[in-house]
Amino acid sequence: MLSEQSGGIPLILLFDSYMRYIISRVFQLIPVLLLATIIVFVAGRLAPGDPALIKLGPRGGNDPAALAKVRQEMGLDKPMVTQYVLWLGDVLKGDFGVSLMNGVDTLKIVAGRIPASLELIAVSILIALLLASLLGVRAALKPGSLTDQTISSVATGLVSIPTFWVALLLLSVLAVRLRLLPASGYVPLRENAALNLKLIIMPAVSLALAEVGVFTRFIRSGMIEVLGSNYIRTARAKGLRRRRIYFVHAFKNILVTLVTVIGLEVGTLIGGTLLIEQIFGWSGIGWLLYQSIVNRDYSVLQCIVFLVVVAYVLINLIVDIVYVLVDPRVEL
Amino acid sequence: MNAFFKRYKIRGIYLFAFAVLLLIVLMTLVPGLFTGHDPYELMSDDLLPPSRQHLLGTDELGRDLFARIVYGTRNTMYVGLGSSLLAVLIGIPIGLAAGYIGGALDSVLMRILDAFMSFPAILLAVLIISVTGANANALIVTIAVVNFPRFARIVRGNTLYIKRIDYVEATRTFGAGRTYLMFRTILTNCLSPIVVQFTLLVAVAILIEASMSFLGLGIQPPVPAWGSMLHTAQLYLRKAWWYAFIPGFMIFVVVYSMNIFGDWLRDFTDPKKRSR
Amino acid sequence: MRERGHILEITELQTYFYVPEGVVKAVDRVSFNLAPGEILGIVGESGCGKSVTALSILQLIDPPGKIVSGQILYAGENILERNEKQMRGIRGKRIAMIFQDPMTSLNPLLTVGEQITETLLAHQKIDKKEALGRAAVLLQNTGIPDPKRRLKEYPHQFSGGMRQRVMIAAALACDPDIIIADEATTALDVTIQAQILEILQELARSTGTSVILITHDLGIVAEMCDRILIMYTGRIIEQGRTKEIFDNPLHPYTRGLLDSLPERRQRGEQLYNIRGVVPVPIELPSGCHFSDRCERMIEGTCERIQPPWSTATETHRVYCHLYQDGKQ
Repeated sequence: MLSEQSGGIPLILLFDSYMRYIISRVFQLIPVLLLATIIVFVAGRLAPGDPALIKLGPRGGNDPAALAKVRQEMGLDKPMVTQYVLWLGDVLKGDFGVSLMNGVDTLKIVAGRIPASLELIAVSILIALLLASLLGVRAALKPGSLTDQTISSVATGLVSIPTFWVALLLLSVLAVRLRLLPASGYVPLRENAALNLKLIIMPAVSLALAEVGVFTRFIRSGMIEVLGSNYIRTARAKGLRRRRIYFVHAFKNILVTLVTVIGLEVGTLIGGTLLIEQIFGWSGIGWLLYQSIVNRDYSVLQCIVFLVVVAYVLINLIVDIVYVLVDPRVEL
Repeated sequence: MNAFFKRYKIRGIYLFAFAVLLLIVLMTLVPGLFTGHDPYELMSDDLLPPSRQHLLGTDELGRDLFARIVYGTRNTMYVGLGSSLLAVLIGIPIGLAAGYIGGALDSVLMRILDAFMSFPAILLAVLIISVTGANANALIVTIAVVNFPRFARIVRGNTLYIKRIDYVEATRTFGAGRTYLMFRTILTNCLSPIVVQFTLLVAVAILIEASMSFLGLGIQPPVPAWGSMLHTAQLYLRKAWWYAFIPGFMIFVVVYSMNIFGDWLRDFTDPKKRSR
Repeated sequence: MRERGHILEITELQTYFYVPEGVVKAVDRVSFNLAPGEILGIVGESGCGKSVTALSILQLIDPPGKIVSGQILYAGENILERNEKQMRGIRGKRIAMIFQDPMTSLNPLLTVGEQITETLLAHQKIDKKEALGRAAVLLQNTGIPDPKRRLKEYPHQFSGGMRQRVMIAAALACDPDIIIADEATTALDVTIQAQILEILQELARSTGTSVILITHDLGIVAEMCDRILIMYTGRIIEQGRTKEIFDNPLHPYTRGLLDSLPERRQRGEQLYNIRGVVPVPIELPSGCHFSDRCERMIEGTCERIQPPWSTATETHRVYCHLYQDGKQ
């Protein structure tokens, strides 16, 4: 598509302009990321607890000499700004210190939990999109009708539901009362796909429900706007089948902005895992975060928050870039 | 009656929302109207099902559940409203300044807001609470910090929009001072969107408070709070399912009503009537 | 002429819009015919119902609008009785329509090729490759050079005039009997307008396709059309051959329209304006809608009683109290 669009312009130059756009976007993000890391760092320093102790691990309290040495190594006697730079340096090398809970390298523990959360979030998004598309398109077909009003109210309702409440209800009905599904636990997909899927249903649905509300509203308003546009009128005048009109002509036009919304909602979803994973014993990042809060394991807490923020920002950056690459109207 | 409804753009569901909110206000201000029991008092046996004496049964320590729900309203609304007011107080000047003065100040402020917004709400709240410790007032500050960036952005957006309208230019030619312009002229035009956003902020704040209390990082027991009640209810799903159902239902109903109220306000104050 | 019968016979078409303020009779008992190969112009000011008439033919009227009654005979069949699925067999295939704004009437995210071939693929049993070939030919016929390459391009890479050519190509794809052009050139520059009209005229003549040309521009109509209908607030108030109407405008409104043309004035003379404004579609006088602006209104009659049809010649008819069967 790129080469076709360029006409006579050589490919290399075209990549160059896209590259320039990407680079400029990345540059714009750096100050934001830096500020965010500062927030994480400051929170870490302000939190009760001795950072040197945290780094040394649970046995550090017994050895004052080692403690003092570590303190000096960590530059805890130096001004805050220097400390921040040192900390950032460590972090960028992957050194988040050692977990207070078990003395293992923090990053390792956290990284091990990522696949579980990824799976949960991905499944939630899929469920949410499926339901939201059905509801949103249905509502958009007859705006103002009873169907539309009902769907809109339902969407607002879904956005208002506390996810952990839904989780508890599902748990109490499906697992405790009806014994249809196992109540909690996690097993990697590769190990036991069937069990994994059984276990993921309730958490994924709990997470998805609130997102259904958000996506439905968005799809509905996007579709209403698109369906009112002139090219849809042209498509109808051509006698095309409804399915083609809705899915090829209409949906395509909201697809890209839909992806943007999904990117933004990933943040909410990650936050949701904190609540949901511990209810269902789904040992992902959210579960780990909860454990670290309860156990006051600050290095793990900091590590997770840091990674989440960076990931969130990067995801939205990628979404923006993809948007530019995919929309044929944008000329760089 | 019909004309009244039409004029204020009231529909069935809005009435429901108003009724709920009225109920909430009453529960907050005069809880004694609803229940005679003391939410802290260990009265009866643990985990009794609903009965005439205890409308919703008792909790795991023998306290009347209905009383805890009613008194919990106050705490939730305190945090919800308090944090939103704080968010608005911080957000308005920042949004105004960024929008009206623009330039370097705008860039810097926007970067800072973006930095805060790159944290998922709950994670930021957790981060801050871990520094301040968990109690209602800390929660107010925390939720305010979490909520104000989005709000400030909206104010900024409105400011930019209004700035372009000629009559601000006209007022400026009368020699009005910068601050005066910012606060009087622009603010009065932003007022209705701000009020609408405020109600939506409260809805979000209540959800965050509930989530934090659920995690044990919000309002601490024995102070009654719906979120923390749900946390305890987790352990008793088999024996007392209503314990899990009721507090969550209250959260849902209040948040839902606030959202609907916000929608109504938006419809009501919108000069150009656009379909929802 | 291919055959004696009319390709389109519209009788007493009524399309109303039900809005909170009341009922808008956008098309109020409109009747006319279209002969094969003929170019018919529908002229009138904005809001007179010409577009709604066209949309009604293809049953593209959405709520709060509704085709209330009437008959539309296409090749002998009353297509108003067709349901949505059956109408799809007509739209784009036997009767095609092109619209006013070429900027927004094409989907920005689909290539031009896709938007032409989709008509072919929807209505005919051909494969994609063949469809692309046909599309290229169609584009060529509308005067776009290097069609094979251009088919792969997106609408924003075309200028306004070229986009309209694309629309025409898509409309002609299945060789329809009738093309309806709804203000197809209004959004274009005058010079481009002329080009597009020329293409339309040429293509129509060469394929024998009938054209319904909807416009508010009398100049266009004078150039292009065999016959003209003049509409005012939902009714046809005069119809006839182009020459007849221009040489001998009967209805006071028609006279007013023609007199308003700058060409009709001498240099230095004040421009003519029909006094008054087009009435709000809900508060229409019960008799002739034009009565309150008419210079030759007959008190007591015009505003109360529906004007009758009078025929000046076999093809020239007017809807006015001033004429009772024949000349005044």
